Amino acid sequence: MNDPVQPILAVRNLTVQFPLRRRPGQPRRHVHAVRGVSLDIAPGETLGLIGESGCGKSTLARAIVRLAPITSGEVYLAGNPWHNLPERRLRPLRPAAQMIFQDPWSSLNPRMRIGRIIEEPLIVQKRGDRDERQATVARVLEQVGLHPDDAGKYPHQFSGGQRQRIGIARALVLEPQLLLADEAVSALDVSVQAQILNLLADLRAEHRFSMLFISHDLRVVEQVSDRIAVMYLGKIVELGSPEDVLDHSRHPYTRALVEAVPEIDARGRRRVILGGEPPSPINPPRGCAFAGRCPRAQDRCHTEDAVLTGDDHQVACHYPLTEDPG
Amino acid sequence: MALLEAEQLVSVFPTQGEPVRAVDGVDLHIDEGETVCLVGESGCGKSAFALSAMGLMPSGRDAHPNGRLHFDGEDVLKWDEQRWCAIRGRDIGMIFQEPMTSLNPVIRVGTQLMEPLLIHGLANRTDARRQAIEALARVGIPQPDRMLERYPHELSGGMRQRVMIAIATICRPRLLIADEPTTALDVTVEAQILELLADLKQQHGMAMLFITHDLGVVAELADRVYVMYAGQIVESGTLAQVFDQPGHPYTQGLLRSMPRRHQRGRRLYTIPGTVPPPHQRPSGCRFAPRCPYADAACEQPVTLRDLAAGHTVRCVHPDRARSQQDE
Repeated sequence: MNDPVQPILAVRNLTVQFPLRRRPGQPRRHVHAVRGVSLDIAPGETLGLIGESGCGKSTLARAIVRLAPITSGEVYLAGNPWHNLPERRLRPLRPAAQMIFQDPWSSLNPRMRIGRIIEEPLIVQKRGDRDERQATVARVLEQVGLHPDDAGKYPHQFSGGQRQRIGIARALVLEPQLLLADEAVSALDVSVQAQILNLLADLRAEHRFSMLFISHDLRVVEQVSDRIAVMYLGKIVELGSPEDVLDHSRHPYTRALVEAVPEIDARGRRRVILGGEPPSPINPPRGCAFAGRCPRAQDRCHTEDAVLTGDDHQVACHYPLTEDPG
Repeated sequence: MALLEAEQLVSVFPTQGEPVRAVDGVDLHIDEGETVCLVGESGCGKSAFALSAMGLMPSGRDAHPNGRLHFDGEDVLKWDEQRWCAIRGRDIGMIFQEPMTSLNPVIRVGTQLMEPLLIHGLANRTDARRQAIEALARVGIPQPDRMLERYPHELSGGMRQRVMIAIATICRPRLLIADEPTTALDVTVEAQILELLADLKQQHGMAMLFITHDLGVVAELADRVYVMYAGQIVESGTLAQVFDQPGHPYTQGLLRSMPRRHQRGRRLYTIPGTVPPPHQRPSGCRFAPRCPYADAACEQPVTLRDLAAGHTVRCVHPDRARSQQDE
């Protein structure tokens, strides 16, 4: 792409495989979680990543921050190679990319006070003295809508939504350039989810960080994203603006996802319901991974994989949908 | 006559301290063949209501002297466990949220499917096996005879939930209670399961109580809707009444805070504050502390009142809420 601005995150042909236990007399098999993903995120941009469970979206995020092992491919953060650094050299750079996790119950240490949970990244990174760090913690707590006095409390004293605010505060305290939110609002009730989505929008406006926003909920992704990527069995199958991807979907899988969303505003509509389930990532099919469920699949789709092509609106499909859905 | 009818039903969880009134005076009825959705956020008491309707809540009749719960005209609060066992699985089926924990992991699918027929004496083994295969075919499982020999761990989440539905409906119950049956599923699989439930309902004229937090699912499925908040029903009516002309500020807030298609970047409406814990519920309207329209009148307990035929709301100022909605 001809973007003159250097992307905050550049991922090139990233592959992640997890080895399975070897069975006697058989070659070792792998779970092909991420199968050659390339994407860019521009400064200040939010890229939404949609996909169903097991499609590899969480593994992709974890590999980007080096919490999952990279099998091959490259990751550049603000132009600097990041995929091949040893942990010793990675650590001072880690503040640039921070993660918010899905489960606000298991991602906070129940025995640590909130102030300590948020201060810890500063200690690890040797930032400031004790007083400075605590001032920072108080400031960040206020930014996420909590009270500085909350620093003395424990996680169990907070509701799910408040805990997610704490998780966001912990991610923000190092002033990252890139925030990776993995199903950050999925465990929350709808009224609380709205509060957290608005908070993320406010923080983004103030701090101008980039975001990789992962969710299985297309309605949430549409709400927050500048661009959207759709993932299926370890690969990006469609990528572009929300308008392009959701309103003018070109990949049959994206279309099926869009039509599957239960919607208040489209009661009684008729929709095409996709049959079957995604194939196993242990033995990905040779051709297009979606071919087995695809209403448009031809012989070629079962033998030859489709590559992501296009400029602003990219699709990986031999027979993409055209404008007229007729 | 309603198939299931609750009046001022109270269900209590005993705790070490004061008991928790999870269901606190609920009026709800389901007619023969009707799909009723019970909507609410975590902790509102919707699952506790489902358990009560299955006779699975810990408390007995003593806990709710004023409550009534009738199934097919019978006072179920008088039923003993033996009577419940004769009803559960035969006249009332149930599907739970998590298909992995509700199937027995060490028993083959076929045995689990045939069990209700055998327990209720509705079939002999040969006949039960035939019916089990039919039930699996009905829920869209390919090669159903081979599925009988499988164990739950060999199946995907969607397949497990299909098996659960096959078990819950194998005796052709008159009422199916489904507690968040699609929440753990992916959206394309969820769409398959919702379509399946709608088909089963149409074919067998089965009534369904569908419990969910997802208003989009409600819109796909419901004939009528009940909205629950802090143990009480705060609004009920047809799908169109509740979704198009919500009378309760909480219903409105829920509808407005949900992200919808084609509203990118728009700021979401948020309901201020949080749900009060069971022991700190206000004596008046329970939503009042979070309500933009609350005043002194809301400090008294509020009863359900009619807004229109079949549309009730537990609010003193439904007109205020609705004039806001029109803006």
